[in-house]
Amino acid sequence: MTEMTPLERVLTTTKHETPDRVPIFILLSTTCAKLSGFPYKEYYSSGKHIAKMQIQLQKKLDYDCLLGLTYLAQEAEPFGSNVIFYDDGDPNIHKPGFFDDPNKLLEVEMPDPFNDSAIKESLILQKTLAEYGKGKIPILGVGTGIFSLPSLLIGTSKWYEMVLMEPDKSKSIITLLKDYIINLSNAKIESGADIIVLVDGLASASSIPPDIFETFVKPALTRITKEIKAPVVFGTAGGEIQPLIQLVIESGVLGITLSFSDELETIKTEFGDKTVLLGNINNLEIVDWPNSVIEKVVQNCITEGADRGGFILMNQHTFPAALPLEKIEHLIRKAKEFGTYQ
Amino acid sequence: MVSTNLIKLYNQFVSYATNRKYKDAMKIIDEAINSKLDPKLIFTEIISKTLNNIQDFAEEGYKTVSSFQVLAISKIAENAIKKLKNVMGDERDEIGTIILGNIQRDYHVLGPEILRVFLEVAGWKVIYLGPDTAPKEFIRAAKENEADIIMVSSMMMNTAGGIPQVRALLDREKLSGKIKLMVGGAPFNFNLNLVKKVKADAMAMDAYEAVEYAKQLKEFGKIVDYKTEKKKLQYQKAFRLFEMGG
Repeated sequence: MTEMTPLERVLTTTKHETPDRVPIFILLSTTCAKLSGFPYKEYYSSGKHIAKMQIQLQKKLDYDCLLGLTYLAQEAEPFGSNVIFYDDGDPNIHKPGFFDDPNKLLEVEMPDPFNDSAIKESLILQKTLAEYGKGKIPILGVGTGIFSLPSLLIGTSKWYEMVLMEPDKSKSIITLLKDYIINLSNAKIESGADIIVLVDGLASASSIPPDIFETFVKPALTRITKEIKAPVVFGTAGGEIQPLIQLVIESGVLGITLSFSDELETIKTEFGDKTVLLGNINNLEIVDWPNSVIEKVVQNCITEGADRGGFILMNQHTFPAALPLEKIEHLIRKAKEFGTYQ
Repeated sequence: MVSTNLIKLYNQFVSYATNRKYKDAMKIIDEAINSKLDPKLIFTEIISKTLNNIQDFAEEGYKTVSSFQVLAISKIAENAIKKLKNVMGDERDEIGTIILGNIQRDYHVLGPEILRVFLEVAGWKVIYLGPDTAPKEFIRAAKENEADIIMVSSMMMNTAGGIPQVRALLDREKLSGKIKLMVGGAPFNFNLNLVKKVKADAMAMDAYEAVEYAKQLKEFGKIVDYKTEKKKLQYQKAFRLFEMGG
């Protein structure tokens, strides 16, 4: 078979047909920050810096995506949430904007995200990636999912308590934020993203049971996938998804990321024709694996997931900076070797 | 002997707690108090037994017990205990003291907040230090309160890197044999080798495990019974790897 471009490879597998080989998505964030040579805060605050490193690493390692992610807390910043920048890891929420009084979130006028510098940089990132790879390499526009965003605005404990004690108020918050996510995602697409990945760790099975997903997440996610003008992948940041997978599929997403602890073979058998599966390399344990274990894990993933297409080999969440590039190179080399379709 | 009424109230309470029916569960506690049942019995035979029951349910039936489900049960237990305290006061027998908090630069408090309730129901005195706790604060609190165990939570790889400083301070104060160090949080669940890299005595994957392992650390000074065979194998692998310098 003639060698495909990364975009052709990914489009083919998403149609549940077999491309030349299994597509490989490598999610790198802190690794890029470390290699960039910039102080982390400066790196994460610049779409140009991030794009440069994403392009450099994709060229060097030759995998099948460009990651349009600045950091996941960015959507909360226009609401006044305070982000902490580390000198050895990804930025994170420091203090949620409505931590002191979650009820105020319902009264607030929706901020215009496009006036926010972090959001502007995120769009610059998509645009810069597109200038390099549009039409050849899929650009993943990454953002926070609908059930996780409230936790960045009021705090996880308070958000869970609200869902438990005040379900109607919680639904109002989801309704309020739904259009915000749709608008941001569509802006990323206009700037160059091909696929939107909504990372919703708090909507994984590790975080919520099926009835909560069905009541709070599914209706909003269904609307979001309809109104976003590109395919949507549901991401869990390493959280398990197996007990919820039918509900996620019914929400209309193109694909679902799996945790290392999800049973890929079972999921492939039951749902492989209904959705695209992305996964499920353990992003943290790999640090301790010798090359022989990396090979075995890659081979297992491909054996269990790759048949008839509809599968992308991916780390379940971004790799830590402590993982040497040589190990990632070995993973990719073996994925190409084992993942070639006959 | 446990009365028929108490058994009936327990069955109703456990059903409401499992199904996250907060208000209904609170009504059962009100009913139990109004029936003039011994508050200590309400605590042991309804609230504490419910958490144990749900732990068994988790072990037997569910691969995944979601953090939301555990939070809901802990909130129900926490508020039920508050009601009881109004009639029985704060007095109860404590089995030991635990210092609990997030390591410095870590702000993910959900897990420790849930765990605090589970530990208190299990009979521990818990000194909760909250998010962003410096290693020396864990040691200071442990010394002041003559603690048995320090429990440190971290949800990020980079913040987990601060935990070995807790061990270093325990060593420096010659407290490592006396005060045990337990860790928890997503990075430890994703990489079972990490527990030894941060030089902890044990790690727990969830609140249920933390309660069980705290008991074992207090009684035997180490974990003697891992909850599953698979986990035991993984632990053994982790410990070997560490000894080999991996």
